Amino acid sequence: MYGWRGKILRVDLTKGELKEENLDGKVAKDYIGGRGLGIYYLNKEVDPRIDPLSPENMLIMATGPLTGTSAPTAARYMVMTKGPLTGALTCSNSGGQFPKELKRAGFDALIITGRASTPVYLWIDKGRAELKPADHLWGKMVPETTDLLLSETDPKARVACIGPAGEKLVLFAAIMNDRYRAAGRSGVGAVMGSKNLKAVVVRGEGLVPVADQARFKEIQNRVMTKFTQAAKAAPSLLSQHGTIGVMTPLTQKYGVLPTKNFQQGTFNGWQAITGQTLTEKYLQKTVACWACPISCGRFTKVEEPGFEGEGEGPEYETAFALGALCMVDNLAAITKANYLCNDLGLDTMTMGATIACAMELFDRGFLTAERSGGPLPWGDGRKLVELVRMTGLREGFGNELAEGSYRLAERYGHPELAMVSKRLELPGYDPRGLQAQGLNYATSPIGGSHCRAHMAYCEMVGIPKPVDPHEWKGKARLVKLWQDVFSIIDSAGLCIFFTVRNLLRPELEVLPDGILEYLNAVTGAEYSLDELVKAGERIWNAERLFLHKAGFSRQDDTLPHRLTHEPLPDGPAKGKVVHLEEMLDEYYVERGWSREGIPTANKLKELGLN
Amino acid sequence: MMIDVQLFGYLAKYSPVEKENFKLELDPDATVGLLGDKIKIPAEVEKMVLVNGHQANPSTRLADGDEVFIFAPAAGG
Repeated sequence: MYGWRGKILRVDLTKGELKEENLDGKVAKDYIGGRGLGIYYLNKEVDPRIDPLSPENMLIMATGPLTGTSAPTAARYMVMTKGPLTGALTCSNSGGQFPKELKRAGFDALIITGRASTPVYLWIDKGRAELKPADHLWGKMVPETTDLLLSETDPKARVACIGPAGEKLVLFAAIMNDRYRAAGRSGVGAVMGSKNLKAVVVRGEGLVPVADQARFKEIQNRVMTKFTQAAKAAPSLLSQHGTIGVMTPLTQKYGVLPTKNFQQGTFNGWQAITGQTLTEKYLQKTVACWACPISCGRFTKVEEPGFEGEGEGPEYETAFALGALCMVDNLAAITKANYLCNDLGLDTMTMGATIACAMELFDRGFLTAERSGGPLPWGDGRKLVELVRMTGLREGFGNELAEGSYRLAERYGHPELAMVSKRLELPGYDPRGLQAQGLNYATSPIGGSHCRAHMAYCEMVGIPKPVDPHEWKGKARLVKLWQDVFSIIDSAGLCIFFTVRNLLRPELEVLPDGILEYLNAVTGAEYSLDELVKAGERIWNAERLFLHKAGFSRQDDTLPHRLTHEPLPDGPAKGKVVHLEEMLDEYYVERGWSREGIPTANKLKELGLN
Repeated sequence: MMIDVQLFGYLAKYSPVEKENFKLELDPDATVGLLGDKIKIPAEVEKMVLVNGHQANPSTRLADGDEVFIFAPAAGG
């Protein structure tokens, strides 16, 4: 096979057995790779009703057919499992260097089941895999774990591991790769911890085989020439100031920068959490993932007393969650909290949102200082840093924060103060001012996420053309189109940042012509455009089937009461709420699902899922 | 009337005063299109205009004290 390595590694941690199996060519084509392959195996082999932290849960790490090639941004892999934070499906994506190294090491995907009796790590050296003891690594932070593993395997290897948070089953623990990159959301790190698997270390060789090298080069030259010329004429803000440089000013100007646990849509301290401020104060260098011409990563260093440290970040989602959501306008504190999340292996978004929820519970008198180990005032940067550390180690009140905002708010009698969908904390775009984004959060298979489609592209940035962010009518169709095309991007192994602007047809249909060209040159599978679009829709529906079997339906496609009933009090979106139920009616029709949000027999047949 | 203008990102290079934030005096009833003529961002440059946080087009009328935010869905991502 080309593009695909044609091999899956099965790891049964209970038995300590490793087994290679061939990847079925038809399955590969129908599900593309990455996220698609993940849901194929989950549906086939996992009972969706299992306890996510039981040995029966399956942890899948899957690359796409483009991952590890030199196609721009072909750096991504997907971690798929049943999420302990949500009970829903989880697909958590990351870039860096680890995914391409896994592919070069000879495997399209790892399928990990069971639970080891003592801590282990998986070492894959150019196609040869073995499980090794990891008792000496247990309890260690991510950077130290990474260093020790590189010294005892191969300094050129790449590491994905958990920190103390994953070991202690913090429900939003991340799997960190290349030290600073995170498959962050829904607690994939806790699943890894529940299996006593500390790390996966990979070393490969050679290049990912490409079916038609000449065709690949021709596409590559054309795409990169166009990109380079455009970037020269209009330098990318993502390259200059990172995701935080692009998004903070935009969300503030639109009045959708979630502030004070979504009680406001604008933040007085917003200028402190922009990429421009980060560049001036802390940026050391920019960092690119494998094959990426954008380089949006930020390596930073902070020297302010109490917040000293260095590492990557913060990204926009981190700065919004640890910053505006908690009313913290101290960028040193936010950045330090980010470093600690990276070291402990925590999702920065759920961390920030859970602290914001605790601050509101405290503010309203539902949570006393006695229970929380001291007052939790809005905007306290030092408290923020302390709470992150305590959460990662499950110390004191951190043990309650470690369960995420929904369980915290429920414990204190006010679950409505958790800003979640399917118990996953919402990203940094208040959907009252961005209606399609609201529908997208509510229907995402993993819960409140901006990564399974990102409607801010059309509602805020005008890509492919401007749409009114406050209008709800007609948004369902757009959301379906974007969700299906994101399924393709995630499955191919690409990053949304380059792909949306450069590999989709510049029309409302966001057709994936550019991805199609790359996929066909690399795999030789010769998808038609229709087949590829269908594959995206197939993946989305396969995920919905998993959710349905786990007991999810329309009643779970929700947003917090605040967003559907409390009008935004400030900014340009003042007075707006999300028109979710109206949009859901339209959405299920667009999807060919029942009014209860369940895929119909006809739709499943059409997609070959019956 | 006086308008607050911010040119975001690389569009700042089109600022008449070498700052991305500036004030501009316009005739009453001026439109976004007229403002665009004054700032001289080339027509082929992709851009979006927000007036007080709301998407605007060339015919949108401006009022005294309006905040105009102009940005480009820049190349790359």
